[in-house]
Amino acid sequence: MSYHSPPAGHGRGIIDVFFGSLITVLQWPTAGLLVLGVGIGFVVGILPGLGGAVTLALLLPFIYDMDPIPAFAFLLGMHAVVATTGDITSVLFGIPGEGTAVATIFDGHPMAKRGEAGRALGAVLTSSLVGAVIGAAVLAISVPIMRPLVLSFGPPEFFMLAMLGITFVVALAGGNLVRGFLMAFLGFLIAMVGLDPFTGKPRFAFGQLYLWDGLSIIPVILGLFAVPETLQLMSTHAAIAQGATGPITRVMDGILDTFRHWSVTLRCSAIGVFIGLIPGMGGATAQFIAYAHAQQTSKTPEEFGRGSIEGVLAAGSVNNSKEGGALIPTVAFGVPGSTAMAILLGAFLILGVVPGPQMLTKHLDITFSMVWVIVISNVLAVALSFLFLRQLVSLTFIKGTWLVPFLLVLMTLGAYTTHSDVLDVVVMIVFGAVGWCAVRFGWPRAPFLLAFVLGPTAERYLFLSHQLYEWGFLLRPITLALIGIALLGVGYSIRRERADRRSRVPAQGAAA
Amino acid sequence: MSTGPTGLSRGVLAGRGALLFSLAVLAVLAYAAYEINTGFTTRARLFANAITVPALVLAAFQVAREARRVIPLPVPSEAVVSRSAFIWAIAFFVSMWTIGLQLTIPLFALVYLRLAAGEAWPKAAAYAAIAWLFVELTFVQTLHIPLPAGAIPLPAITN
Repeated sequence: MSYHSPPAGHGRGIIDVFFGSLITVLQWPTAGLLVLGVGIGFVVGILPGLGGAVTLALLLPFIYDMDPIPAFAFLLGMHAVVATTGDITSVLFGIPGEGTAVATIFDGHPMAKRGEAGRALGAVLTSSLVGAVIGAAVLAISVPIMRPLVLSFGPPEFFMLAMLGITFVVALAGGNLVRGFLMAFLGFLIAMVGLDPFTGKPRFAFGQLYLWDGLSIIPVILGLFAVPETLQLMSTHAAIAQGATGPITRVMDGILDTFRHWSVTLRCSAIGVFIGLIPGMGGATAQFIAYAHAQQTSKTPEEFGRGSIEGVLAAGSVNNSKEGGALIPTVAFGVPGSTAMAILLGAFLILGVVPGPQMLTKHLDITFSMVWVIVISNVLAVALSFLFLRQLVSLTFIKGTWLVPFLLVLMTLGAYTTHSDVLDVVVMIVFGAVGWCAVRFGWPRAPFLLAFVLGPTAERYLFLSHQLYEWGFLLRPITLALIGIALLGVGYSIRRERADRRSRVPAQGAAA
Repeated sequence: MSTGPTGLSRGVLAGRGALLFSLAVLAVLAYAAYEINTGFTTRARLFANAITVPALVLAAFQVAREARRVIPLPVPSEAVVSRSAFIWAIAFFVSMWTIGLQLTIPLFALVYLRLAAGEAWPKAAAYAAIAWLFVELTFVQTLHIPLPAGAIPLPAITN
């Protein structure tokens, strides 16, 4: 399946396409799917044990028959608001709804404990919205800047970019470097299952016709991410919230705080965008960097950790601004920087849209529609959060076990609908076992997924590069620069691992 | 880490598990390298060799490291899964395989919520009915997606 956007560039300037995309997003059924996505993201953000990336994977089977813009409105609408509502449980209960909402606890929860829950929620939700708008604006502005750069790239540069993305995800995502690279190599290997694109001969098919088409992305993602999380949910019977919350008042004070401390909000949003751009850094890292920056530059650093409004604003604004930044390499180069972006890249492939230069020329309307989806979904999410704050809080009393039958059914159907074949469910179970082993033994899953998604593209670009330049393609200036950056990333990670090991040894010695 | 007999045996098992997983990865990579280099042209195995050769070196290194490891790595909290969770998950898939998904949905929801979650029968039954209705209306009636049938034909119930 391939998608054809309305022509951009011939008689339609960038500005026209930009505002045309807004009209498309506001039309039926795109607007309806956007609202539905926001609604799902809303609940997912607040619910225990259900992450944004897993939900993205669970929603992939629903987009098969959609056009790209409605599909991205649905998926991105959901993903863009997960972090926003994840902040609510961080403030009220000191339990993050999402991994990216941990820093909100440091000051948001102490504020709630001293009776300022409403103010903290007002501040964190408004700063999240400001951050999201800034991230989306940077994505929009980057289009004319990125276009000449992307169009000047050839197969060698795109191949090295794919390698660089994977190297960064391995090096910066934490954990062990060797295990990270091994997972990436396994991901490439699994991506090779099926007919060889150059000879038409089956590879790793074991005589099974089912494997000739290769493994579909949906059962693999569901297995790697949804199965281990569901198993864990089955093991925890408790609800996220155990007690009652205090009164939620002074929300308007919190909203105004965002603008009283506009400098913190803007600076931390900028940090989010920048970190989002770098593959592998992710939201979990961004929130702590922004928080540390806000503390270092504050006139009252001693209040951080005890209920500082600046700390809340820093955590809130960085949370959503990173999404716009993370979309830039995903859309422009086809190199996703995080698990969620890799799943979104999978959505591109399902919809027949190839990320890269075409997203800045032929499919510019899709890129700009993503900008509008981020903005509109966050405006909706924040407005609805303020309107239904009390009802949202009551969601946190749902036990994890109540979600289990629903998740199992959704996962099974998600895998099954790929080809209406039970073997897809078997693939999901097999990768579920791999995913659980990976979590159990500390092997990161993100490099595997990234390599699996990028595998066919990387193989094609390597083949073309070798055809065009033999091994000389490795000596082209941009390729050399990218190799240098990748080596720096690896070097940094090795240094960090050694430092971690050194710091552990004295601690163990002292404990002994 | 627990130092009692149970904790110790669990730790030893975890250490062996990590080594076994590393060995499995090495075996998969070795097989891939063998298959690629015995049945493909040089051009076709370009990418595969670029992947498998460094991967084999790293996998061998990882196996050696796991074999030398004396203290097992701590189990991350997100990997702590109870035995009953595994059993329930297996029960779900076995049920789907034998009687099909259409019957498994309400049956599993009812039994799981009553026995595993300790909910009252009426609550569990209401959930089971809603879950079945949701799947029937969304997937079967609206999206026209046929649900996987079971190995045991149950036409009298499902039709």
